[in-house]
Amino acid sequence: MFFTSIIGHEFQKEAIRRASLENRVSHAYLFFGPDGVGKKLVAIEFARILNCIHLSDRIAEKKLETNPCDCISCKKIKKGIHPDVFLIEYGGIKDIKVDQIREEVEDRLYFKPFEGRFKVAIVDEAHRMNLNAQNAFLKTLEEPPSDSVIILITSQPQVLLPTIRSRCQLFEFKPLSQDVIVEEIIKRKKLSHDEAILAARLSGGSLGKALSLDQDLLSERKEIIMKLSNINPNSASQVLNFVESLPKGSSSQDVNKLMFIFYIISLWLRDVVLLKIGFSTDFLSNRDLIPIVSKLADSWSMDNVLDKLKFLEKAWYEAFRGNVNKQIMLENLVLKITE
Amino acid sequence: MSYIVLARKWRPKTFDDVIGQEVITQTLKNAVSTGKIAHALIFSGPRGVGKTSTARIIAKALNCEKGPTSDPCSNCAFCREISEGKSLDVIEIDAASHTGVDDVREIIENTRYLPSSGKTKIYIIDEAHMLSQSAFNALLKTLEEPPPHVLFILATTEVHKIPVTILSRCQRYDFKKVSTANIKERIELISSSEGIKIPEETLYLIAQESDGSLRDALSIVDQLIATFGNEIKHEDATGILGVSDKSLIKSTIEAILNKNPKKCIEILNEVSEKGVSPKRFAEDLLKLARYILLIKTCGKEIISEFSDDEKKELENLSRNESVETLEILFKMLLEGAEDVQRSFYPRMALEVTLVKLSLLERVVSLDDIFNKIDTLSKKIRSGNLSVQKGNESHEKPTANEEESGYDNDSPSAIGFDTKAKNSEENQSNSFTGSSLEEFIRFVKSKKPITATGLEHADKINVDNGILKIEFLSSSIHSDHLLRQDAQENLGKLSKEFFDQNLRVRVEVLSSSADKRDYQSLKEQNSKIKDEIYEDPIVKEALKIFGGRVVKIKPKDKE
Repeated sequence: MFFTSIIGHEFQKEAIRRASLENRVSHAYLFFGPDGVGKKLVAIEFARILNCIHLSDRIAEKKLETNPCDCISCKKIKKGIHPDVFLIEYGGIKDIKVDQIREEVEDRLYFKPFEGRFKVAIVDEAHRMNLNAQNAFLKTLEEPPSDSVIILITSQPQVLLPTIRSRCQLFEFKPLSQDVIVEEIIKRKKLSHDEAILAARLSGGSLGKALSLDQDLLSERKEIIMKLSNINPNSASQVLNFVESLPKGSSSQDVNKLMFIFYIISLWLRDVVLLKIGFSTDFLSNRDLIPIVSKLADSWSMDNVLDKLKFLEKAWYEAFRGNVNKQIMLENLVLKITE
Repeated sequence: MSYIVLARKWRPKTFDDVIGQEVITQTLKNAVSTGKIAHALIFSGPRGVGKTSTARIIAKALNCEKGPTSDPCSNCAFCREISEGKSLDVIEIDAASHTGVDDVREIIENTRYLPSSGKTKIYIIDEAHMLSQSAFNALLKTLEEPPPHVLFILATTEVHKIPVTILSRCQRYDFKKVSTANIKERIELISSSEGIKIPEETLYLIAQESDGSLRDALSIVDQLIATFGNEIKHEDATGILGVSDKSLIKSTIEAILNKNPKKCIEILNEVSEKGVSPKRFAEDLLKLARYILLIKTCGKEIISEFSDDEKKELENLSRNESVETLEILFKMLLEGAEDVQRSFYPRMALEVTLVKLSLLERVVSLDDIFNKIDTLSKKIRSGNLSVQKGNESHEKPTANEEESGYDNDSPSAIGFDTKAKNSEENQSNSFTGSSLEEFIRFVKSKKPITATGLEHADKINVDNGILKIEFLSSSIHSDHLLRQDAQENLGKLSKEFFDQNLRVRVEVLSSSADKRDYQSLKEQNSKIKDEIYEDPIVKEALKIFGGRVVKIKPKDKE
């Protein structure tokens, strides 16, 4: 069966379905969007549809979804051993180089398909191609040999040359909508509706991330906000103690944790803003902390909260993209936020 | 046969098919028909504007059976061979894949042989900017003086990467971005001949989205056909392009101008449910703000991206706003959009920006302020500043708020107080402080000594055509003003200043009863003063601004 394991992205699925049914498959696609929303899954499903042995029957019936397909071609593609479908992946060392594009994509595209109908080249993390590789790809991307489909996948389309982008059909994969994520979380995990909403907000539209949030992390959030809202900025020891408890290392675990804390703080300040401009408490993310939030909404002025958010934004950027002393930066941040 | 995308299928076949590059195509046409085409050309310009296509057309024009002709037939064997990429005499080289000096040497080697069937051997070096330094150098001699049967065409998007020595040996043609109107026309033509229905509005949208590249526009059309078949609705297009609905952008700007932060956030919620990214939405907002500013400052004629109705709507949107307000709005949006681009949590950054914008105070333009000051000072001079018997006092655009204090018997009463005449009773028929100062300054410029006398008076007011100056006790100042000539001067000056005949009366309150009255008044004043100094709000204000109390004015009497 096609596409059943992929959540959301209705436009893209419909476009692929239609293009395959009506023989309007373009020679080059660029799938872009945030990590973890299912771009590669869709690309592989696309390759399956294009080469499925039963496709002609399906086209005759005008139905793609019926009959789970376990033809030899689909099976091979699923296992990643189909000779006409090749996946070019970033090896994790350096860029994707010209030679890799030439040998693994261009040269192979010039053969006729071995057993399928289309040769499908999928380049994952296409933004890892260095400039030379991108340029070398241009001519092939514009006019590839017949029966070829090239699918580029990237989370950073702005890194690709405009000349690359202009040669592809662009499929933007969007963050999954909150409702979809909430539904999935409730289906797969034992979280209450409120907690599921919170997890969805914290995930930024990536289902994988949302599912990784569990009860512990959510209660940790509550603790952090309670602590923060009780800190007296005039008491140095309170500020220092709090900052002491925050992760400041550069291991990926620490970095993720700190990122999570920044999300928490910004959602909390956002709640205050929402209350101040007249939203009801239903719209808040931290619904278990309404008394704290509404108290702050009364005591802080609008300018004050917006200033804090702006400051947070800046600190956030500096913490992960800049080169700062995290200890000092966090102390500064806590002082600013609690003031 | 697999499907050929529109951009390839509709590659221009003649010079006239190339859209938006009239200057270049005309030049080349003339060059071909007069046989004066240079031996090396370089085409530069952004993606998807027709560089490679034009190169192929030249190849056809020179090698066509009927040629060299500026209007190749596209039907003869040569033309067809070239279109299909099979011709032996038209060698298209992907310079990005053949960057090395060896590749170029091979080219040079081959230039020595005559064309196999056509008249000219044409080398199209596409993506020429990717050739290595030594490859470029190896090409120099051949490019300068190639054999007579050879034509080089270099095409590139990045002309700055081409060495100047190469550039100086080539005739250079800079391709421009294709205008929105041209793109719209072209895709309209293509879609109608492909039997695809696309609404007018959507055509505009696609043209705008493609940013001057015809190939981009056709890629979008292809995608739309692939997704929605032959009948495309506007909503479908906005959906797949990830464009925010125009009406939603407009209502966001409206909400900002109406100072409604809640509405802004609600719209943002709606937008992101539809799958538009905050980054995209911020850009769209910025674009619209720019158009509104343009319409406001330069008129709606200079904008071609909107239909007339939309332009009118945008004009209405900004009707009540000053240019300064719109400018600040744009500036803040620009900053906000940058924040959104680099933020880890773009949605939040956009929300903060929108809330901030919608709480923004209106900026009054300097011109407006000057105009107001002008009318005001005219009024003061003509003595029309007063308020008629209480009513309407608040609607009148008068200098300061405190004028409503004087409910005087006389319709044309002007009064002002000096020193510490701050009790409400005293205030009841007095000048506003500024006009008193103005009068004294005016007198000072003519008669300094008289002005000093005025400055030391305890009370000055104008009532029933009398300029009354009172002193608590006799002093040199009162003595001066009591002199005949001083009073005459003052009379003349006040006539000049107020534009009306005033009698001048100077009084020295010598009688004890009068003095007692004043004394008690003074005490009352100082009591009020103390009260005000002790007021917590005043104290706080003094603390925050670090100032001092200069003057105490009574509030409006309601």
